[in-house]
Amino acid sequence: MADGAGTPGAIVAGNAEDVGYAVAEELCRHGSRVVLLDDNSDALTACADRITAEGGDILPLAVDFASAQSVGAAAQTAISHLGVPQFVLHNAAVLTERPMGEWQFGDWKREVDMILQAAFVLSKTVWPLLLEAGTGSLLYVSSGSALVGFKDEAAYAPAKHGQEGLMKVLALEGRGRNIAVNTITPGTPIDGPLAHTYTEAQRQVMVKPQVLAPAFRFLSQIDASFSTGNRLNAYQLARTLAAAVPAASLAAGQ
Amino acid sequence: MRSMDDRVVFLTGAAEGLGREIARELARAGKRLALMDVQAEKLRAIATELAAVTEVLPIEVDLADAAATEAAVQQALDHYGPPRALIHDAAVLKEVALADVTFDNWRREVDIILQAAFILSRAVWPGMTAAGKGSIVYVSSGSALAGFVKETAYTPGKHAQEGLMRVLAMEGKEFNVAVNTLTTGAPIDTPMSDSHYTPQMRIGIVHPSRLAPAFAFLSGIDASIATGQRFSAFHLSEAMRSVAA
Repeated sequence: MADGAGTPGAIVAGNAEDVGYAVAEELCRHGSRVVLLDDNSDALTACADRITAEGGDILPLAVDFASAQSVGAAAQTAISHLGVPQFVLHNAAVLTERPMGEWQFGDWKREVDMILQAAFVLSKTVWPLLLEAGTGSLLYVSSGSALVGFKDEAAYAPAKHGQEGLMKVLALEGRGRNIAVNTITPGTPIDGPLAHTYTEAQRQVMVKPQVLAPAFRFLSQIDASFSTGNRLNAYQLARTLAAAVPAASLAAGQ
Repeated sequence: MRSMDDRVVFLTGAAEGLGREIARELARAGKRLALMDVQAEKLRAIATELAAVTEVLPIEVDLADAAATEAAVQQALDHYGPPRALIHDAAVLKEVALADVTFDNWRREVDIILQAAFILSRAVWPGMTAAGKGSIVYVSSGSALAGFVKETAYTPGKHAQEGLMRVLAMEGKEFNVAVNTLTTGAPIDTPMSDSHYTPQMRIGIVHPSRLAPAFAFLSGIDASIATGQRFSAFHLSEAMRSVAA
């Protein structure tokens, strides 16, 4: 099996350009071994090079998120590399805004499959290991589009809704084995590849993904006894963690 | 593009259960029907029954097959022109835990619910938006809002279908196209419930024909009446019955 037995392992699926990179970096800095999946080879390589140069233990894997075979194979490779993963984050998504009358089926299916099918394949691949281990944290990145509709989101919104539903089912199924399954919404606009879809008001409050990364690191080490079946908020959690650190330092007399 | 005949309804899942009762109700209401289902023999039976009272085009189709679904709805469009209403009732519910469900079965179940909803809606969209009226209805479920153990495909599929409704309702408003979901609102005695309901869930069970009037009503609305809503078929049907009495 894998080296580093006992070292927490994490699979981060997308996005090497912003949140995925920030989370992978944060996890590596705090001692996790990370496998980062992405479909953007250049961003993936750049990300892995930077983290490796910092001393992080990261394995980059190029993947086609719309292909069940590709995602499944990458997940298996990650398992071979890490052993039982403690944390699986599904952050891969594409948001194409297009009126219903202009969608071609192939494009629609691709966008839905990157979100919903990939979530299913990743989860199904690691699930037997998590059941046996009796612990683990699955986290799917969510969106307002998981709860309400938006014009021109005939692929993205249904897929995010479907992912939310998958989370609810797996949270119930995993509870008896202490497996946490949650979704997480960014809670604030992110200064990243989707920034071009933002309004001016959103642009004014957007934050770098590094601001949110501690929330993901925190959730990488939870199990169902902490939270499962919930829709969490990365910004709120990250700000709370940031505010709690000085208090802890004060208590320690530092 | 051919003009829309207000009597034309495309309906999936018509071969048995709730879908068959919806088909009967639509026929009673004078609708011209395209009925789609994968169960060929049962589809032929209901088509033969209803052909005595209205025009019926039965189309045997596996709604998990994207190309076949596109061909089926195109066949209906070629025959009738754009429909006044599309009712997507077809679904499969297999209760299998994540550890046991195969990818192919998961894919199939999600595709019948969500992929077919998209393909069918996409096909009728140009005709409805051009006509400035139309009604799209997806049959929904508690599983569109909550999670249930072993519904690894059905719950995500129904959640996603609800999301598609919400998006299309927003987009359809300017064209006066109504897009809504219709959940049963009461337990119904059908083959799906036979394999799914616990004794607890069967309390208050009714014949699916009790829910059918709501579908006939929604097949004639447009966005000026209601859109983006999640209706209860049982309550809507009972309310209509009370007014008619």
